[in-house]
Amino acid sequence: MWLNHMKDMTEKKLDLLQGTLDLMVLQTLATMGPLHGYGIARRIEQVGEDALILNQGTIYASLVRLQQGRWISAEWGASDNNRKAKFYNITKLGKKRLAQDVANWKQLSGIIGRMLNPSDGEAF
Amino acid sequence: MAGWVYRFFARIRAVFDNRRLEVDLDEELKHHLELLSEEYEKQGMSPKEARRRAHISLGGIEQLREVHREARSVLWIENLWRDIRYGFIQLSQRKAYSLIVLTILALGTGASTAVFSLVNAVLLESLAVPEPHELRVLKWSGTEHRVMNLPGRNRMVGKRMTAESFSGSLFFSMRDDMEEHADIFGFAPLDDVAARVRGAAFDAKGMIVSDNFFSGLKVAPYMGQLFAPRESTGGTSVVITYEWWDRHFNKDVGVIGQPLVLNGNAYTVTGVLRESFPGIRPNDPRGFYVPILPGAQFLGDALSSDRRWWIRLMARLKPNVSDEQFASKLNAVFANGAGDMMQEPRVLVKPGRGGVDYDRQLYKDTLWKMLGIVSLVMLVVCANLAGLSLVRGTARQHELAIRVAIGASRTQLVRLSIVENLLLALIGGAAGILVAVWIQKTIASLLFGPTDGFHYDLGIDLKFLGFSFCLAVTTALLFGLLPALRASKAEPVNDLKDRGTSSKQKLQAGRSLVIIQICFSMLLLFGVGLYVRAFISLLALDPGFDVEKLLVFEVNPQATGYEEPQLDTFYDSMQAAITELPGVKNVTLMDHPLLSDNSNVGEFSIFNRSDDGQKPLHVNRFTISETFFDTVGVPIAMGRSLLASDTNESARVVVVNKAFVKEYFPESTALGQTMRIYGHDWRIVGICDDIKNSNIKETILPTAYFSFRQRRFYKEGCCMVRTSLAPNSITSSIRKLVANIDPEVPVIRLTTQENLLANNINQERFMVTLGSFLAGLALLLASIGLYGLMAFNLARRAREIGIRKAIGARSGDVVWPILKEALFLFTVGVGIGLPALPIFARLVGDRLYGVQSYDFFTLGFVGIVLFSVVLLSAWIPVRRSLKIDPMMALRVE
Repeated sequence: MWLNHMKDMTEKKLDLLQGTLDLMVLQTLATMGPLHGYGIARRIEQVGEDALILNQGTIYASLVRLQQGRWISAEWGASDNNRKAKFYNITKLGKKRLAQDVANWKQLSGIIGRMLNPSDGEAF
Repeated sequence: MAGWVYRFFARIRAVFDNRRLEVDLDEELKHHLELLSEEYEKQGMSPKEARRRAHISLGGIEQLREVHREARSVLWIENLWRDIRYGFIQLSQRKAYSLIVLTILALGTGASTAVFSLVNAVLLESLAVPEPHELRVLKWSGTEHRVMNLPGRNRMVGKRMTAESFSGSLFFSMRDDMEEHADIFGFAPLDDVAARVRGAAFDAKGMIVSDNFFSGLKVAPYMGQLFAPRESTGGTSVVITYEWWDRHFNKDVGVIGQPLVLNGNAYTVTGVLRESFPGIRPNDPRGFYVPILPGAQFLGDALSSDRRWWIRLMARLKPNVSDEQFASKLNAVFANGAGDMMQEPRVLVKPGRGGVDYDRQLYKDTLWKMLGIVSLVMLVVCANLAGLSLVRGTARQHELAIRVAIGASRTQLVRLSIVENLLLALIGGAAGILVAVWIQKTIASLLFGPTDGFHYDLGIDLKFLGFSFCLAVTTALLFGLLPALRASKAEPVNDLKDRGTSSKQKLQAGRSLVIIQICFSMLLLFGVGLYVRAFISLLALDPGFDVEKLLVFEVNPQATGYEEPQLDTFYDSMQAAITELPGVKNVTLMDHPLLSDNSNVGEFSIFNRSDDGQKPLHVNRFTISETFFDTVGVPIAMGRSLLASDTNESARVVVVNKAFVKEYFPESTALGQTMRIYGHDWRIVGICDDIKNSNIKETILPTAYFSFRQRRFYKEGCCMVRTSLAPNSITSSIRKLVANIDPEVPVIRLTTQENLLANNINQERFMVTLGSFLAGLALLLASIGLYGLMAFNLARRAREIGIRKAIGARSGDVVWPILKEALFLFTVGVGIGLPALPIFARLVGDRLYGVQSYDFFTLGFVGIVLFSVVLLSAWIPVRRSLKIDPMMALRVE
């Protein structure tokens, strides 16, 4: 039953492209400052306006990847309601990567946009 | 970019930090869930519904953990790590099994590694010089030779003599004529040189070498200069090894130009060799090198004499010169120069990659045979471990079936087995290295004797470790893979249902493995049995005199400048002083110890014989003092002994042995005859009984005994003391006594005659000791294997036996099938091995002393031993079968 439910959701919503989750997490931390995992997930969902399917748990795989590459740092602290939570913050290295990734992404989406809209530029 | 590098190392670190990371993640997820469900509650859901929704949004916890693990660490390392830990748990749960397997592995790999490293060190190692494959060792062979003073290992096959020493003039002409084909260089060992460095005196070994020796070997100096070809080096220059520089000069960088005294003559150090310089064979212990020059103190008149052959030769072939070209040209040159010294002269060009092959030749057969035996043992080890593993696989079948049932994949099962076996292999291999080191030491002292010391470096090197490791792993995979593959085919349903049916096949495999072990064990036992037989007959050999309570040592007064007549005075006062010692019965002198593999065969002629000069007559010559026959205990059969009154001033006389008489005077009387030797006429005044002179295994040579007063010792003199006390109790007083006469003359090679005799059969003793050990190991393994199989079979049939007992079977009916099985395996194993026996016996039993290679006594003995072991291994299962309680057996299922 649960599986069917999941399947239904997939049909309606956008799937995440490989590697884009890391970019989103970095961008979120860059604009919002230190956040815990739940906060990051909520923020991404809000921005995606529920059109994006985010299996919230997968955020943690992304977080550990980024942390291992020292693009973000993590620290245990107290959350709003005084519970123990791990707060993530973007590092200098992370900002550098974000800038690079954003530039790449814009270039790529520009190319794809032109390809799908031949009238905009040269014919395919 | 750097981020990816950080991540790479972080992932590997994460493998070992698994638990902490897992806890962290759990905590985060918990926090996440709480916040999420609060959110849903705010949206108006009931707490229960909110928690459910939160779980759905987050995703399955187990899957998340898996995804997280995959992201943060290197999965295969983590799995391997898990498998290894699991393997350890498995092994420690089956302590008895693991311990047996480890012991077998350690003994097997240890023994093989030890023998392999020995073979490697003695037979395979190359000289550490550039392009060792270009090197050749030269020997010659010929019939009816007239060469004198041939040192070294000379071999007589039929009438053909093979030897490795050449004359000085031959060396020079061969070197010059062969210049286009090869660089021929010569050398001669110098033993027992009295050296003195900075006031410290010691006994030294060195080498006298031609000026192109170092350039021929292509070695460079560490410091100073080496001798250069065609360049006149000062006659007093000496090159020392790195080790000498370290030991005697304390690595003094100003060593060049410093003095070094050899046998009383001053030399100057002109060069130091590199640490890696091997000498003319691997790990040659010689420490100094002096040049061959006319008038050099060590040579005497050797350089100008055509009949004294003393120099050994090696050659470095020029590129593009084949062995055949080199040999054919060289043969012509040699025949030209040596034609008047022998018939059918021939030069033998031998590979010189490993330097001179004295030790190789000596130990080659023994070592290769040993390697063969050890490989056979290794096969038994493999078969045995495979059998054990198979039997244990059955015990685990139930467990494996459950694993398959709850979802373990086949690869996982096989991997688990492999990891377990590899663990065993690694631990067993490590233990095997310890065993190998121990065995190696034992072998070296057994084979080479403690007195002489072994010159090969038997240390643990990479090759050694690599061999041991590969052996252990290969074995483990061989014995582990079969059961693992079998396990992977496990059908859970069948195995859970009934534990009896699938074991039938396994029983067959187990049987074949036991048969292999019995078969190989028999071959090994037989081979070793032959050695034991040969050894026993060697032990029974009689040297012809009493070797007990005889002390032997050597002195070399000539090395420190003694000449006649002081030499005689020295020897006389030494003899007299030792005779005075309490506990001494007799003292005598001779030119070399008895049974020390020394002989001095030379040519002579018989005065006034019609066949005089037709063909050379040969006699073994021995120089002794007049007390020799009394001290050794050799009766004079006819005539008289040598006397103190037989001196330089009186007529030259000689005593010969019975073998001499039998060979040269079969019909006439030898007494009173005159033989011409050493350029003089000697009258035969006595005939003594035969004794073994150079080796216990020899056939007694025609021998002539000369008095040292008429024929002085060539170099060292050997003193033999017959004691009434234990010979070792007077060694210190003898040293003191000789030092009293002259402190400059050291006592060398002090030992007992019993030791010398024991050295004669060192190799045989070695083969017997190591062989017995290995055969015993194989036998033990075979019995363990057989026992394991029988026990397994019994466990399989316990229910059946229980039922039969319950319905009234007698003990005999229960026992007989078990015994029958053991006898069946024995018969098949022996039956398969029997046809292979003659071939095997010829391989190992070749050239054994006094034993036929197909020895029925040994065969019978082996049969009985094997049969007893088989019965013994069956004994425990038989007893257990008698104790089976029908009710218990039935309840087990």
